[in-house]
This record gives sequence, structure tokens and C-alpha cells, in this order.
Amino acid sequence: MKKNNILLKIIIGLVYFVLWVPVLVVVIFSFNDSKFGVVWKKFTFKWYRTLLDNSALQDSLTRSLIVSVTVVTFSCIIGTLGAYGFYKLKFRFKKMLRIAMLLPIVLPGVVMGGALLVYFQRIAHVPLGYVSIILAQLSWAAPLALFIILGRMQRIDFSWEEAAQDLGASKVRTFFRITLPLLIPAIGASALVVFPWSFDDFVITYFVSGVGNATLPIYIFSQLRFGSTPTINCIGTILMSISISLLLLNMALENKNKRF
Amino acid sequence: MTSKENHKTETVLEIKNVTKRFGDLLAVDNVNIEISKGEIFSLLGPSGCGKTTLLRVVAGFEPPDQGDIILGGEKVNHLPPNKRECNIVFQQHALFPHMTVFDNIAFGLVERKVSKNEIRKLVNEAIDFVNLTGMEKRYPSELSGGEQQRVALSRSLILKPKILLLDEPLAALDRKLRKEMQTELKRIQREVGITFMNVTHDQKEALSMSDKIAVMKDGAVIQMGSPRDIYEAPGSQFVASFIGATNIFKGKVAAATDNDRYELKTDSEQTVFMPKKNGIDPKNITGFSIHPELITVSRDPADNKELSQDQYTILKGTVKESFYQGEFSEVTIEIDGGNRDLTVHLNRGTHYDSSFEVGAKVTVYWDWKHNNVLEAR
Repeated sequence: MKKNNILLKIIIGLVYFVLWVPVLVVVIFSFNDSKFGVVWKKFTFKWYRTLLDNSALQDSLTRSLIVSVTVVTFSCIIGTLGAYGFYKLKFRFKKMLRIAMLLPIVLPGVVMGGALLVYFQRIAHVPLGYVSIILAQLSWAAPLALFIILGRMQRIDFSWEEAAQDLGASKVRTFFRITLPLLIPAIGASALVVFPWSFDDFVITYFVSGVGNATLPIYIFSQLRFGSTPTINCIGTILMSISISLLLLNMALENKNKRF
Repeated sequence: MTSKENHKTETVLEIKNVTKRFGDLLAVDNVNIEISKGEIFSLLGPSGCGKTTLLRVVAGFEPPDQGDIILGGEKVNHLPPNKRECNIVFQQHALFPHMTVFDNIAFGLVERKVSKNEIRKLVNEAIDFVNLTGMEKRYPSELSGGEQQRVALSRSLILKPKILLLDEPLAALDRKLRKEMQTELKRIQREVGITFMNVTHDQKEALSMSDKIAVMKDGAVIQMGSPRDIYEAPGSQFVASFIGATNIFKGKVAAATDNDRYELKTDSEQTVFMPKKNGIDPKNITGFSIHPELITVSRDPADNKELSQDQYTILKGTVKESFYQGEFSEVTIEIDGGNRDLTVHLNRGTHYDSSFEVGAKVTVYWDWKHNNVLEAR
């Protein structure tokens, strides 16, 4: 029994080691004063400083943030309204609509990206740039938000809404005092899922971004062609810390809302 | 004002010819009910009989297809739920999970834009009134079923509705709590003086709580009256069997009847007398019911007693089964020649030394005036 335990611990340790070592290496070498990663010379912030001086990188970061924030905002709004309709309304082809909305999430990015590019250029004549990137990302982000919120909504007892109305609240007041507060954790959760996905999205964005509109992942990819520089490790470290904080925030929110 | 006027009962809620359909389903079928001020009125019926739908029509969640809801003398058909002076206590309480006990109870007052100080005063009073002192800051998930129930009650009562609608208020509680809450509900109703309309499928709850009961079946009210009326004189086979364990005999009125009684021929060819009831066409009579606690059992021969057909309904039979229940024994007796069973409750007080072994030959008898006429309905 005890021997088993030790074995188990070793295996778990190995798994974590394999999972986390690359990540740790990135973090450590972002502080390494050596152009070629494998040898540790001494601690430095100089790569972070080059990051500050690199205007192309800053542009792409700004672009990525604008895109992600817009996508998160709209997908949360569309997701909330859509889920509300899905849960409360009865209409024909509801099941089919549900499957249709799953498609953008499950289709390979290459297919979606190619299709959207053709659509934007040949049919809808949407200029490639912010608009096309945001629309393309919304095509999977909004359904994703919708399904996350819908899952939560199914735990809401709609006699709560009736009780509120019975106690004198109008329909609008009921939405803002009862329904929305109860959905906030779900909306927050979908924002926390959509944000990193959108920020991270490469394939679809690559197809529809056009020329000179590189988002951060696209910029990083283009830089890799000139060989890996420690600057990339810095970006990695920063993104990682953001992701981990978001994850922790998500967990904290979940715990706070265990009441129902 | 003279005292006579004070005693005149005031109608709080009038349900007039109300009909409600869901597609092909007739959920509420031309119901007429009047509820007087301060009354506990119960809608009793099996699930799916339309009682909850009727409650929702009164509250304003479902518009009636026909008929009127008149609340405090005013027609309220067109008013949405938030504008009606009646409140529901929902079956599963429907307490707002993201609000504390205090905020739950204050909800309606906030909607009425009552001042903050006033709200604090009223809510604290309400919390004391239902014995929840000290629990203001708790969330519904931190309360027991009974406590949740009390929050739900005071959340509605604080708005001083003209009538409080209770949708199976005790169904979510366990048996012991249910009894406790029943007492509590009666106390609250007595002290606050608010009219209750209670929906339930539990006949015991309805009998012990109500001033008046309406029994519903397939959307229609088939009998309305005091608990005593409903229990002791059910008008039809449905009511008789729904209200509680009873023995039902089917039969037809035989041709000639005396002045004060019918003569009924049962399906199993026994002749039985029944008291006459006003306003009933003998042709409509389908049988009679007799409660198990009214029946006397004696060993054959019948305790050396001369039993007269003029006074008693007398049957002979064999003990088939006997269940000891504590306060009484339930004995099942197979009636001779009829191939049917009769359930008898032997009270400890009157049958203290009698126990009947299975297979014993017995005579059962009861005053025929207890026979309750059942009509086809």
C-alpha cells in the first residue's frame, strides 16, 4: 500500500515535470543574458527592455487586445440574449439551430478561415482588418459563450422570475434584479474562456487579417522565421502570467457562487 | 357603523365562470368560487386536476380564456402579476438565492419604493414574527426547509396582500415539519387576519387547515363545503374515495321508498336503507359510502344482541386480514356472497378487548343513517 503510494507520487511528479519544465524554461530564459538560449549567463531584464522598444510588437499587442476585448464584449451580449431565447422560447428547428451553432466551434480552423476569407472578399466585401478579424472570431466565440451561459441558465429556476413579478417587480426590473445577477457568474466564466481563445487565435485570424494587420500570435510566428529570440520568451512569460491569473480569478468566482 | 354590518362577511376573491384551456386540454372548467375575508380556503384535488392552474390564473400568470377574477370588488383580468394585490407562496419557495433573508423579505417593499428606514423596521418586525431573529444575513441555501418556508411566507405577508395564495406550501417539507408548519400557518393566519387560498393534494392537510374546501376533478369543482361536509357527506364516488379510506357500495335505488329513506339494492344483492337527501333524483344515485370507523364488528352470533334491520345495516362476513396500527386496528372483512371487502377501523376505546383472528366469522353492523348517498357526477 505504502509502496504504491510512493510509486503513484513518482508518476505524478514525472507528469508535472514533463508538463511544467518547458514552461519554466521559457520563464527562466526570459531573464537570461545570452542570445542563444541553452546556456545560462546571468540575470537580466534586457529582453524585456527590447520588448518595450519594439514598436511592431506593441502594435500587434494593441491590435490583439482591441480584437479580444471587442470579441469578448459582443460574444457575452450575444451569448446572454441567445441563451435566454434558447431557454425560454419554443420555436421550430430549435434543435437544428443548436447543431448549426455548434459547427463553427467544431469545424477545423483551416476550413472556417478559408471559408470566411472567401466570404468576406467575394461575397460580403468586408475589408480585411479589424472588422473581418472580429467577425471571424465572433463566429465561434459567440456560440461558445452562448453554450456556457445556457448551461448555467438551465440551473436557474424560473419560478424565481415569477416570484419577483408576483412581489411587484416589472419584467424589466425582474431581469435586472434577478435574472442578470444570477447569470453574472456564467457571463464572467464565458468571458474568461473566450478572452484567451480569442487572444490566442491563430489559424482563422491568419486567414482573414489581410496585410499589415498582424495580431500578436501572427507577429510572433512571423518573428520565428528569423530564429527564436529571447524576446519571445518574455512575451510567453507575460502571456502565461495573464492566463494563470485569469484562471485563478475564474476559480475564485466559482467558489463565491456555490450558493445555488 | 352597526355591529351587524361588521359581521357581514366580505367577499375578498370571486372567481366567476373561469375557464382555461391549454390547446386541447381543458385545465379549468367553468369554476365559480367565492372566498370570504379571513377564511382559509383550500383547493383540493389530485395532481393534474387544474388547481395550480387556477391559482396561477388568480395570480395573473395565466390569462383566463373565459370568466372574471374579481379581487376586493375589482375586476383584475387585465392586470399583470406585479399589479395584483395577491401574492403566491411557491411550492419550492422560490427564494432568491443571491439575496440574504433580509433582502428576500425586503424585495417587494423595495419595488414599492418604501423608504429605507421603513423597510428596515418592517422587515425586522416580519423576521421576529416568523421566529427567524438573527438569520437576517443568511442566504437561502443556509436555511433548513422550514426556515425557507417561513422566509417565503413573510416575504409575501409583508406586502399585506388581500389574499395569500399558497401553492402546495407544505409539500416540500418532511412529515414532522409539515405538522409544525401547519400549526404555524394557522397561527399566522389568525394573527394577521389575511385570507388564504391554499392548493393541496393532501386531504388530511386540507381537512385540518381549512374553513372551506373545494374538491376539483378534471378542471371542475365537484364539491365545495366545510371540511366536515366534505369528509362526512361526500357527494360522489370520486370525492368519497379521494378524501380518505372509505367503503363504497355500488347499487341502485329499488322501486318503492318510505318517507325518510331509500331502499337500495347493492351490486351484491343486499338490500340497504339510506337516509333521504334533499334535491337528489333517486335515479342518479349510484351507491353509498360508509367510513371504516363507523362500523361495529361482533363475533357470530352477534353478541346476543337483537339487531333490527330497521335500525342497522347488517352484513355477515369472514375476517380476511388484520393490521395493527396503534391507535386503531384496521380489519379487512370479506362479505359473504358479495365477493367484496369491507375495511373496518376498530377503535381501542370501544373495542379494547376484541381482536379478531383471520378466518373468524363475524357480523358487521352500523346505523343505516350513517350511509352516505353517492350520486353520479
